[in-house]
Amino acid sequence: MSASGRGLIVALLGLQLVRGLLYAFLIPLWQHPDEIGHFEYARLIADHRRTHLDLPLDGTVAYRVLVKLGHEDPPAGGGTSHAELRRAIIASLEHHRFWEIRPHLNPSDTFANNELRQPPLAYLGGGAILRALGPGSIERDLYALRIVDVLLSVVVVALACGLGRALFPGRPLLALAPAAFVTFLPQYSALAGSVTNDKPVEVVATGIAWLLVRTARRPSRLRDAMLAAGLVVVGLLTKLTALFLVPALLTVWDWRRARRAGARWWWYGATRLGVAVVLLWAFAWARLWLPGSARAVGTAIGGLPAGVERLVHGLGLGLHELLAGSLSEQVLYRVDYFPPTPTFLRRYFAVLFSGFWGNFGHMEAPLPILLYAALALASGAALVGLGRCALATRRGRGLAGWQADALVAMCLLAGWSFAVTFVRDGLVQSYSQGRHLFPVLVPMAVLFVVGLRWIVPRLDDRQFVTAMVLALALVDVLGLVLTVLPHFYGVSLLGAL
Amino acid sequence: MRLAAGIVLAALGLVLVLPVATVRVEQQADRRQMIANLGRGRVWEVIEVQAPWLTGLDLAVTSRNRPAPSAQVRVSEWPGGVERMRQLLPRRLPPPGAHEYTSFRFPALRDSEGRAYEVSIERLGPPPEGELVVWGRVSQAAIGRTDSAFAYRAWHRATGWNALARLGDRIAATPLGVAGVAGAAVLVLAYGAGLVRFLGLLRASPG
Repeated sequence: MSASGRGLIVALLGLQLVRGLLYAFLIPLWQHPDEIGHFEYARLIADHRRTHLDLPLDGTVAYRVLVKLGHEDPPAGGGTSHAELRRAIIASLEHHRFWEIRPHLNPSDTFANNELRQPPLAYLGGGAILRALGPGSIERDLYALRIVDVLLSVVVVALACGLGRALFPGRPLLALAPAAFVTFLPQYSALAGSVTNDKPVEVVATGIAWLLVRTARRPSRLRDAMLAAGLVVVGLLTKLTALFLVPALLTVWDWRRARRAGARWWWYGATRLGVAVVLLWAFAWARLWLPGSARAVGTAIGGLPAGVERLVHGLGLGLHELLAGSLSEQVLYRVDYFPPTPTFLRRYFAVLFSGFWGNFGHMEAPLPILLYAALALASGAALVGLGRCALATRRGRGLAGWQADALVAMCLLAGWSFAVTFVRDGLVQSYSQGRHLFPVLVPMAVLFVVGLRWIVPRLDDRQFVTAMVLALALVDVLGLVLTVLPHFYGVSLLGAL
Repeated sequence: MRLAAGIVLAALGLVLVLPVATVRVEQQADRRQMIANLGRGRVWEVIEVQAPWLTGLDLAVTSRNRPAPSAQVRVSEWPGGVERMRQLLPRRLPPPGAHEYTSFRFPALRDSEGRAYEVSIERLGPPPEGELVVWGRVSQAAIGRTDSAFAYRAWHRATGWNALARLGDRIAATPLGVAGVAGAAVLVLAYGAGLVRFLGLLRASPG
């Protein structure tokens, strides 16, 4: 690698660090999605020897992990309690203007989003760090965990650099473009400094994406399969939504096997996609529309042994609650809640889109609409460019065969991540946030970059990367000045400018 | 060919943008609404405040085909059967910065099934400088419940150099204190310098 190439990568990693820290300190404490629950979990792990578990949360993963860790209630009068921790968090929320910034929230719902059911790996890491820091204020611990996540986001950018170099050998500037996209994406930088369990999954998924690019150029080895399996296990121990990696890897394997057997891509895609769509829609319809089906499934799950029931529950689909808990309401409001209605889909994709590019805090501080318009145009252009790239590749004037294969793998990763998110959202009737796609942000960045590159073939790689970075930096600065500062601090700097 | 491609791109952009535009408007409504479930002890409610200065409240009350006492209030959808009313707030609102409290009450609203609702503003005042904070209460008279608490903040935004001063004050009020202000300034400068450096390296690179 040339000295200038190394310098560019170092500069990019430094920029990610600085931008992550800037947002981590600028966005007030507790103003990131679910930050309260994630912090509570890590702090419980850190203090498990000094905390009295006095809340009725025995069924949660967190409490079971604490027991595995050898938790024992401290002697009377010693230590603290889980309820006291929650009271301290609430006091910190008040101190940091939580309800002033989000006055529409009901304080009694503070801990309603129960992260204590999540797999423990990220919190074990966070808890170990907090324990190493020793006793301290909640604010210090929260900032410490935010900084750890910023560092993990730097790892993601580093992996993106490696993936880019593997995908575009001989074109060092284009190879840098996906990492630059990730670095300057406003929403990613903002969330880089949030306390969450997303970051380890992003590292894992980006590592798998890199592996898929490498194995597109050379035959897969047993070592590759074992590495992928290990990464998937780490992902699943961190967050259950990492489950998408399993079908994604299987599909990539299936695709490569079919390709070697000479299958036509359109026949392959049509058959697999058709089967998947039919199954998904049939499931969605059956869940709410077939008489008795929802009740039957709910009863079946409810009758399973406790361990299996918890496993089903823990799959993150909320099936048990949904089907057995509030059946009458679901049936009554099935039209409202049935996912594939035009209203649902319109809102779903719009919320997803804004939350991908920049909608800060708890998705309550959107960018100015003109910026979304510009970003939508760029996204559309990238899609058109991907189409052009695919056509040119088929005619032998585009990418090399292994590069096209790697891009298909990126598409499959992104597609499965979206599909799993969509199905889960449909089941729990929520709108997905763009950040739910961030585990596959690097594959999406690759697709975005390739698509845009094919829209502007006359630019050289240097001009292209410069234009993209400047455009994203402009969006970022405008987002900071027009959205972040007014929303969180009630100030508008435009007058000062 | 290029013109056609441009038109297609513009159309695609519009298709992609329109939902976002709609949802932005709806999100604003979402921010103003608290939907809770009476069955769980809370009230479904919606309040829309005309910002930046309050001139009125819009409240929609409706009920769907659910047994009483449940009711649903949505401001974003305005389904059929909604009785919509608008009640102007008193014109004389406290100026920004004044610690003045007032209260007034809306006449009873009725939904399409005749159940009555009351809305009252309990407190109107600007404790933090430059902000007008409204706290309110919705009571559902028909079933004798009084439940709670909507709130909406209308920022009176500081602008110009005052904004910089307020931003500094607010960051200084965080646990990071004055060091936070200095740290934020350093990070902003580092961001700018890093960006310039990156672009410089890019320019100097052989490509």
